[in-house]
Amino acid sequence: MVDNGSIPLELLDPGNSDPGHWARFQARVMALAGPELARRRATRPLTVGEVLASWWRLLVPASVVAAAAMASLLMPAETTPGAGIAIEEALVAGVDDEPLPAVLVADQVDEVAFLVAIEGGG
Amino acid sequence: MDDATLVALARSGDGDAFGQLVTRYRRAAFLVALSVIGRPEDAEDAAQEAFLVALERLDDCRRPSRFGGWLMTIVRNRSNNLVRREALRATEQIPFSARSSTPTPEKEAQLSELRDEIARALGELPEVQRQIVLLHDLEGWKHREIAQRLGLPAGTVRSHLHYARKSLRKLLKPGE
Repeated sequence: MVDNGSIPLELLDPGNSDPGHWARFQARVMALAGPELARRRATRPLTVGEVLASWWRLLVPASVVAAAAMASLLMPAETTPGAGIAIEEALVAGVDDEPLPAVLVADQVDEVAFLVAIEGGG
Repeated sequence: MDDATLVALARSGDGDAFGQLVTRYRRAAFLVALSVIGRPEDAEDAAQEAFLVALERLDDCRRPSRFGGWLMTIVRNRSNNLVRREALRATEQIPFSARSSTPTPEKEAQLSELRDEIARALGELPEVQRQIVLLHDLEGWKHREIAQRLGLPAGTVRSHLHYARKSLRKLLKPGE
């Protein structure tokens, strides 16, 4: 029966003659365990990460909505182009004399004419 | 992933983790049940039932790193319950047999005969020796693992294994 001293115990393993045996066993156990696993998933306590994630999911859209509301409140009701005072106007406001044409026009700069204008004007 | 991690995940309903535990221990559970019950079909039912009981009672597993030993205790208890129920149902003694009821070709018939011989020889051994020889020689567990999971000293496991093999060789010797 057992002539070489080794005992072929593997013959007792149903998976030895039927390769799919243990896969079917596993599938049966997992199918029967399904309701208990689902119950455990439903009743398990939340982790810190999951609590933070749930807050995050709530806070991000709320913040976006709040930011949009604040922005609409802070924006002026109506903006008219040209309402601000131009720098050039501010500089000449209240000055009676005519501005120096040579100084005001860059491509007509002439040192001599400029000095004459200064000296003459002074 | 170690047993403790898988148990922790399975406790929160992780099907993959529980599936890995089933894969890891399904054959050992079957072999322990077989060593108690003696019939492969019933041993498989007991092993299956033990996994479901283990899942339901997973919170009672105080040392998740030793899930294997805890599971084997459940397997033995379920198997003993099944044997007791059977004994109440039928007065005839339950043989340790792995006989197949399906008709087989010649080679399969020979294998089936050998299987029956081995099963009969195993049936002659004390239950603890059956468990040890099956878990060691068939499932490939080490002495230390068997000792831990069956709650026995390692020296006792070695001794049982030695006597179990010796008895099996004697029982299966040609001409006897």
